[in-house]
Amino acid sequence: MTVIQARGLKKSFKDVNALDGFDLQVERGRIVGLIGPNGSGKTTALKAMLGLSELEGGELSVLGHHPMSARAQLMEKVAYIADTGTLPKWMKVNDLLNYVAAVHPNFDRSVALAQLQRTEISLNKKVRVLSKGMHVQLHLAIVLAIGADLLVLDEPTLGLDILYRQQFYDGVLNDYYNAQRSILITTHEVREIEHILTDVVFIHKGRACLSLATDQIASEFIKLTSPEHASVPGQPLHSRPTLAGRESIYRGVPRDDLAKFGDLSTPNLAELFVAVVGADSGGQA
Amino acid sequence: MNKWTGLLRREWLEHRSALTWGPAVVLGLVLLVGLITLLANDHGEIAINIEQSYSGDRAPIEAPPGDLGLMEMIAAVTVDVAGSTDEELEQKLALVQTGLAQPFHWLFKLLVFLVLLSSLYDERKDASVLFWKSLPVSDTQTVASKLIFVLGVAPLMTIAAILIAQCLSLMLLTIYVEEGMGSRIWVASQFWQQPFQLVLTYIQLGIWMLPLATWTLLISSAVNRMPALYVFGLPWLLVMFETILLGTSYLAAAISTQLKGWLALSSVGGPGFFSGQLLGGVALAVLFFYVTVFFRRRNNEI
Repeated sequence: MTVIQARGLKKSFKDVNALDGFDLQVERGRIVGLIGPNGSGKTTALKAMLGLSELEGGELSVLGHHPMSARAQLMEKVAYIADTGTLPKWMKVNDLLNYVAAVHPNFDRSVALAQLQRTEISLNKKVRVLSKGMHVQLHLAIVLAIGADLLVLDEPTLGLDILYRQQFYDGVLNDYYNAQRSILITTHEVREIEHILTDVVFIHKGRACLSLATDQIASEFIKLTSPEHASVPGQPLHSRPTLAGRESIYRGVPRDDLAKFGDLSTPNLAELFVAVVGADSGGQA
Repeated sequence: MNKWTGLLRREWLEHRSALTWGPAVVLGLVLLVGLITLLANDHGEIAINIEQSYSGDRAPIEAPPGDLGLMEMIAAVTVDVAGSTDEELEQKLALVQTGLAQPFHWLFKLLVFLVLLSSLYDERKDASVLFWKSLPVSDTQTVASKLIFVLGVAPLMTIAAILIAQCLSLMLLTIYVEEGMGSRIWVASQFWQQPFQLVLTYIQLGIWMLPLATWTLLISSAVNRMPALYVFGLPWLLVMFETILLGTSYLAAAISTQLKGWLALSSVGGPGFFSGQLLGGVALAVLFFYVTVFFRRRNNEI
């Protein structure tokens, strides 16, 4: 089942095309990383999918709903954490849980309380006195207690230290994810989500410049580490000098054709991102 | 707890400080003034004021409440209860009850304005709008809950404070007046009718306030800075525009009628309750409401 279907999304702000024909397809049970540089259109795309922003063109369906016209119905099945601390700071934790329980038919308060028991967050504290890490933990506890079909995370660990970041993704993976649920994540920290993604979409200048399953990366991309002046045939997506010689990333080139020129490996997501976005920019990044 | 209970409770939690402390402070001040008045009257000082105001302590009370000081109103009752007829006593006590309620009415109008002005603006300023919108509550439900709370639930706090003030003032008077006259005070005050009277008054006030309330909400949802300036500045600019360019003053007259409607807080069922101006204001409020929903849907964090 297709959870998100986006075709040719368009949105501009003054003279800037934030989305310029953006395409995305997310299937049930997938964990998709939407990765792009600053200003690439990630957040604009997410806001459109969550019914927070009107589009100027394209077709968009999320769980069968048009997000902008049916946001309330959509949010019964979608959970969302934004890139900034968005919980109301004047509210007490307990009141916040009561409120969500009152308005959300799929919220299980006992699950949220069980999550909070693993933290140092007191129910009688106001959100404003919580540290940034606790703020994220509280938001995560609320989101994990929502029986949603789609979880959208927009730079959820921005500003958190490495310990919290690791705990956050462990929590999402262990306590939330199952084959019936899908997760869409945007982040700058490619390395920390690489191991949990099933699919990756690179977004650049408002367009998806790469979209594939992570298990296809090894068959489609090759990293060649060769001596600096080796004469390697073909045009790499990206090439850069290293202490050991030169690293080049190729797409769709048979491994056998490259094996004799150096060591072959599979590029990690960060290397692939630099290569693909660099190539999409019309030069080498 | 169902969705609407949750939405109204959320509003209560956000604004409870203003809605409880505001009336409580006014209540304290009113009682303090009343107490001082009674004590001062004990020394014959207020009697002089009464003499000056009414040319005698049995003079019929014709002046509207707004024209008299609170101390004078309370003092008016305390002078010669035994010598007053039932009709005179009812008049005097009605004057006291109305006078006591006035500060609360003004505070309520101020709180309505402040609460609505901040409601949809503050949630965008602190980015919590993204959290609220991540929950299955439509923009129409959100805007409606804010309006219902301010005009339907918040008045209950003010009515409670007014009733406490009136009850305590009657108790003070009972203690003060001559022995055996206390029961006359309570009978003449018709205190038991006050809750119904006040509820009806606040229903009427709420309907008169709808255009201003929804206009304030609209601005709160639409602008990115200084909402108070826009609430007053935009109508002022439009009035100036009409006056200078068209030479007419229809807008100014319409605004003036609406403001008088709720500023006066006229008696329930009095002239104008179902007037054309009021119905026109309600129609305008419906328009403002849906424009507010439109902006709430489009606008996110500032």
